[in-house]
This record gives sequence, structure tokens and C-alpha cells, in this order.
Amino acid sequence: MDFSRRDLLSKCAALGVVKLGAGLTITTAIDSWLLAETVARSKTPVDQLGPFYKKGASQSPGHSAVLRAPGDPGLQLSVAGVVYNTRGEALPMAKVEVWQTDHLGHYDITGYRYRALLRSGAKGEYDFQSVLPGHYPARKCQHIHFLVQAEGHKPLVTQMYFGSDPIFKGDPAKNMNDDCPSIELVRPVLLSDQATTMAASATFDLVLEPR
Amino acid sequence: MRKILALSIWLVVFVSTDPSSAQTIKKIAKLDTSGDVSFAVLCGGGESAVAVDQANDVHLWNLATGQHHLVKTSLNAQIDPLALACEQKKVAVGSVHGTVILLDFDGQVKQRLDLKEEIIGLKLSRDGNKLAVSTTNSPVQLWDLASGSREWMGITSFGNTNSARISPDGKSVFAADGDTYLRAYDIKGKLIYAAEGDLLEPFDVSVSADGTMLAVAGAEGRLELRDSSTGEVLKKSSSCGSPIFVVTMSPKALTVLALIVDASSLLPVGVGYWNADDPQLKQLTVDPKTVVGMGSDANGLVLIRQDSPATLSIERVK
Repeated sequence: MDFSRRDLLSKCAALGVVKLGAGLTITTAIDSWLLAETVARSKTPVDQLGPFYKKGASQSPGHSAVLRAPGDPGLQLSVAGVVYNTRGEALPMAKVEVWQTDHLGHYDITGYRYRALLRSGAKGEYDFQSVLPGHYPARKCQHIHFLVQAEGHKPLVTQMYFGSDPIFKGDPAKNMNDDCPSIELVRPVLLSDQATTMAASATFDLVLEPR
Repeated sequence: MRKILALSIWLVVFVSTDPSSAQTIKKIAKLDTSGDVSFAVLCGGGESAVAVDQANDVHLWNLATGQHHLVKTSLNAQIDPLALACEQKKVAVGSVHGTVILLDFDGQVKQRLDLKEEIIGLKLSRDGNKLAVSTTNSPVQLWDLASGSREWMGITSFGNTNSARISPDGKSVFAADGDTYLRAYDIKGKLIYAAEGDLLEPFDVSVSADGTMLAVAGAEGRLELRDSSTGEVLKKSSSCGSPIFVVTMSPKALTVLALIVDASSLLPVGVGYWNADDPQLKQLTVDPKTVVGMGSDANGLVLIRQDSPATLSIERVK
């Protein structure tokens, strides 16, 4: 059985392993305990929405999505992360929309290729399978767009960039450019050999501000 | 859309067009420049024109007298093509670093505003007292130029306003928003309506001279004619298959000019012409690499084109 932290603390209190001081209720005590364990986080920097946001992407089941189709060319890419708020609380059921170009730098304007909508899981987690987006003439950097919305929080519009992008010449901190608003949005890329195919993965946590 | 459009939206390579237009294009004025112009607009009722050159300096012309002023702006940052606006007595220029300068037609810098946001679009009210500002990350903002302060900011569900216009009577503001809605506000900032748009983002909105109609276009590649009082779609053009970045309505009839861009490079690939009585969006037989601006005067639609490195032509489209 998979107990949440709250369940465990409740059981500990019930068994007497954790004793409550005078005036403390179990709910208040657990809330305070959990709050003390969370780590405040800086909000994810905002980046531009457009120009090719498209509403109406169908929702993937669960917290995972697959953007690439079997046989799609391009370097396979896995992106995973957790949706938090600035108090450090994980946000389950956050609506995460992602869209990007194919490996050649083309957005699908007529359909929904390389576009997805998913909901974060019970611990705020999300992930999707795609390909490394291509470059296109109007933008210097490879990027993936994110629109994240969660109850009681301000919507977050941002983009994820890749430390492996040739534009950064191996050192994003030193070679930032005006196409990317913050070094925090540039994520390291892990390359791994998956059976016969080389694949890339990156993490990207998303931190929303409460309203 | 900032950097996307900023680099070279107007002066770029010719890709392809499908000219099928029966429209005529007639030169009505010729302006001398000192070099390459990046983009230009026609002001007021067509009495004057303004352009930004590649050094970010501003050229002002009185079209009646031919008088020309060159103003060094000292804006040490890129200027987006839509971050240039003018009316009868005032010119506004904004930079990607968030500075707006306001000039008179004698070339005097009268005012400076610091928005601390990347400016992608500016539009002045006809009396020159209000300025609608679009930025990369915020909804439309209305600034009062007498006080030099922001009066209000609009709303979106998420994302920014791509382009905004103030109605000719100065009573309304229309915003083409990244969340795909067209929103109308009264001049005090009260939301009048949020009209649902296409699946993709609208990039520009233009208001008819009498204020009753709007032309809206964007990434879908087609034009919509909407009722300005309700936002209701009255007519739609066919799609040209590529995004439309700028729209301008004629003051005389329900005709619209549209700058068509390539979906990948976002560089101009054509100039569309739409008569709202006919669903077909036609393309003019002009080389888009020469087009540096479009607009309207009292007599109809005009294109501003750079014929040579030292000359701009203002041309009537009929």
C-alpha cells in the first residue's frame, strides 16, 4: 500500500508515536508539519506565448503524453517535471499544454502534431515523449512552449530551452542571447542509449504563483 | 511575437506568391530617404508619413510640402515593425527594451515613457492623447500621454495582446489577444466583450473609419469582418494558407490589405487584398520584399514600398 506523508503522520499520531501538544488538532499539526517540510520555490520565468499557440488539443489520459508518432525522424526526447507553486507545494491536476516544432522547425498549424494537453499527477508530476525541436529562421533557440493552469494560481506561460543547443556553444551561462529570457529556462540534456536508439531527456519543473 | 517579427519582417527575401489580383497599384508620392528603411506608416488622413531606418532613426515627411526631418532617437535597441504609430500631431516609437519616445512632426522629442517591457505594438488615438501598447507578456495597456501614466491594463485568460487599436472616435479599444480572443474595452478600461476567435492566435485588428467594423486576421491565414459593437463575425475570407501579420481596412469600402508571412520564417511572402463582398482573398502582384508598410488615407488603401535604397513610394491600391 502506498501511504501519503499525511496518511503516515495520521497513523503515527493514532499509534502514539507522534504526540500532540495541548490545543493542537491532528489536522493543524499535520498541515504545519508538511508546510515546514516544503521548500519555497522561485516562480518559473515567463516567456512569450506565441505566435502559434493553438487551442483545442485533445487531453492525454493521465499525466503522460506522447507527441511523437512511431517512425518520426529526429532525436527522441523525454521531458519530465513537477508542477509546484511558490510555496513548494506540488500541484496535482494542473492543466499542462505543450507545443513545439517538429525536428525541422515546422509548427503544425493545420493539425495538432507536436501539441498535447495533459494533467499533472497526484504528486504534481508530468512527462511527455517527443523529439528535440528544430531551429527555424525566426528564432535562434530550440524551444518547447508551455501553458500551465491550476486552480487558485496564475496561469504560467513559458518556454523550455536546451543546454545542448548549438547556439549556446556548450556554455549557456556565457552565451545567452536575447531569444531566451532567462538561464533558468535552459535545461541540461541527458543523452542515453536506449537499445538501438540514442535518446535525450531533460527535466523541467514548473512553478506557479498563487493568485 | 517580438523577435520573430523584429529582425526583418519587411525587407526580406521574396519566397513565392500566387498573383491573381485584378487590383491596380498607382504611385501617388515619392519620398527621398538617406538609406534603407525598415518599416513605415502613413499618418492621420495621409498628410504625413513616418519611417524607421536600419539605424533606428526616424524619418518624418510632410506629404503636402515634401518637408523631411531625420530624428536620431538614441533608442539603443531594436524597434518592432508595429511599434511605430502616428497621428496628425504625434509620432510614437517603442523599443524592445521598453522605452517609448513621442515626437512632434518638427522632429522634437516631446516625451519619454519607460514601460520596462518589450514593446511589440503601439497605436495612438486620433487626438494623440492616448496610446495603446502591446507587449510580449502582458494584456493591452492604455497610457494617457498628458499625465504620462498608464490608465489601465486589459485582461486575458493567459498570454499577451498581440495588437490593439483605438477606435476613430476614441471611445473604444480593440485587442487581438494571444489566448485567441478578440476583446473590446471602453476607453476607461471596462471590458465590453470577449469574442471567441479561431483556434490559432489573431495577430492584428483594424477598425473601419466609421468605427462600426473590424478586420481581424492571424495565424489561420484568413480575414474576418466583425461587428465592432458585439465582436460577431459577419464575413470570412478564404484562407491563403499562411499566417497574416498585419491588416488595414480601407476607409471607403469594406476592403482590406493583409501582409502574409511564411509560417516558418515569418518573413513576408505576399500582400493580400480582400473585398468583403467576395470570400476570395487575392494576392497583389507586388514583390513583398519591397513592401515596408501599408495603411490608408482619405481615399483608400495604400502600400509603402522601397523602390531603391534612397526612395520610398506611396502607392494607391484600387
